[in-house]
Amino acid sequence: MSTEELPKRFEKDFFVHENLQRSWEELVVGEEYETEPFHVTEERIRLYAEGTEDYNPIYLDENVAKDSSFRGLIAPPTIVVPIIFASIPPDNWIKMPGAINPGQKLEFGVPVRPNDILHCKAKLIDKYIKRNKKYTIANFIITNQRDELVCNWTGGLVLQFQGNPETVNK
Amino acid sequence: MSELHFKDITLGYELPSQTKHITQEKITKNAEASLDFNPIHINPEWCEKVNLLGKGTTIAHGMMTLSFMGKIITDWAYPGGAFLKLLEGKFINPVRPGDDLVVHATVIELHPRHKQEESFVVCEIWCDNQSGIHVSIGKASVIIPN
Repeated sequence: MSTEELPKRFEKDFFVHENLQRSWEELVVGEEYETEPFHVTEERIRLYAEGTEDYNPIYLDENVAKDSSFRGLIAPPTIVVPIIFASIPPDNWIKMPGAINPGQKLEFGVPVRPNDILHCKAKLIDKYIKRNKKYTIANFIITNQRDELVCNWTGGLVLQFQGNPETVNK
Repeated sequence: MSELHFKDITLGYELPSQTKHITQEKITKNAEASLDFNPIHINPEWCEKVNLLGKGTTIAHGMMTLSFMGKIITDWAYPGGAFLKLLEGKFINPVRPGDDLVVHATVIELHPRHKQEESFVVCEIWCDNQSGIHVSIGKASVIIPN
């Protein structure tokens, strides 16, 4: 049985909130997004390790981890991905069906550990058109329950029409 | 693995390359792991309907590729007592089910600091597919405190 509780508003089907999505034109640089805290479980760390085929024992084996320079279990650095997807509202452009990831930059602070409670500040910091594609760039500041910086993440998406008739105006 | 020492790391050092075979099952598993259920990754019928990126197949998560780029670094750094400080990647070609990726990383910069624990190196990282085409390029900064 799962020990993880995702936010009640979390929705796996990205089409459910598609009609609530705003278009690229409607997004305002500087706008901030409401997020929910994320409780990191050992289960999520294991799922993430399996989903990325990264079985470093420092993520999975307490005995190995406690003798490492980290002095205990940590999560893979890119564990911030499910944290963002859990924390962000379901109608946010990050979850727009068809959005394409062109690249990301992650600066790390302290590592994520089991039972951390992570908080995220999310902001749209740029949008632009390049080669006829519409880009959005966000910044996420992720901190833990001690207000220590976990990750400063900057990156965006191409919010490009992919041919889906339902998203023709997006 | 023995401890990494900044003074022993040389420009041009190539980390051991890593390979990944991509399947739809693995992409879907990554969606469950990352909570990114965008249909471009998990819905082959929709991708075919919209002819996604001209081929009409699903594509792997860019962040899945970035996790591979992080793994080649952390597999080297963490057992040696080093820390990943920065990871960035550009996803320049789609990764599709059936692809075979090879992840490469090379030390391209040495940054000695008066305080040894602040010394770091920069690695160039890239992933090629089975046709030898770059699917991603990026870099990582790694603090080597010893």
